[in-house]
Amino acid sequence: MAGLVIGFLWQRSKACSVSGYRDFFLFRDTYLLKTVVGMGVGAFAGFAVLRFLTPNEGDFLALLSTPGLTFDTILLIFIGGLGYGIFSVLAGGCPTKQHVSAASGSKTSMLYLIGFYAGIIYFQVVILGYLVAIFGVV
Amino acid sequence: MTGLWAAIAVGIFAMNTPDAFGICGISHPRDMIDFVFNKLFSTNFILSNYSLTIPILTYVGIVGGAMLSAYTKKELHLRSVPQRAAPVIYGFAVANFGMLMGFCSVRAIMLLAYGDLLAVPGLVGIISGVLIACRYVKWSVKLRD
Repeated sequence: MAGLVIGFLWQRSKACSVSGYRDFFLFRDTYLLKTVVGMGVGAFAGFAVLRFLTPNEGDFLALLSTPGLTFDTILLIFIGGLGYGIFSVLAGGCPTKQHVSAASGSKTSMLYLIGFYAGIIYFQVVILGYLVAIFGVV
Repeated sequence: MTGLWAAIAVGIFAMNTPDAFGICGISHPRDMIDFVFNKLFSTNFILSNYSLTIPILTYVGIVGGAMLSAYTKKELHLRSVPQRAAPVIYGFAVANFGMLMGFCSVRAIMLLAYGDLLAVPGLVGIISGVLIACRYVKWSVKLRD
């Protein structure tokens, strides 16, 4: 149900968490960047209210001392982010935007999603084994 | 709205481990497809604690909502494909790098808002990647001219 509402609003706003940075770097256009900032502000406000309502539960901001933050983890996350950013720009948007575009009838996004879901399976069948062998645990 | 939902999900479903799991363009589709594969082919793919008994259908909902919105705005029609192989390759690459990172660009923002430092190298990586891709796009456009 939440997905339905988010999908509806996402299609209306044309939001994209990668295109926000892209448009800013390429054209100095801040429209989509504002949606990214809005997501952050909305989440922060939501977490803050939640923390206020349930002061004894949750780890909001207590995670600033995030456990398991090793050099290997940081490196893998950074490399993952780097590739994710590059290929998302080339693809024209983040996975959520591609789902929304595919639902609106974009055949390009439909093809993207075929590769995307195949990639998810491929990573777990092939890549994950190598990562575990090299880094121990991922 | 997306950000608020991510926060509400933490409250309603106690989605704290992994943190800020309300929406993610990598983990939710992964859980959905892994759930289906595990049920159909008895595989042992990764599942988050939230989808052990029922699949996470956020992205089915997003597709449904977007379709409804496009229909009401009369934007729902098939659009042609300029390239056939490139989108498949990009999707494949994004999924693999996203799986390596462990979250998508939307959830990276949610995690940062939540105070999780794991989001920092992810966001730095994403923004660096976007910068590199923008340079490449500018360079390729110049080359064409």
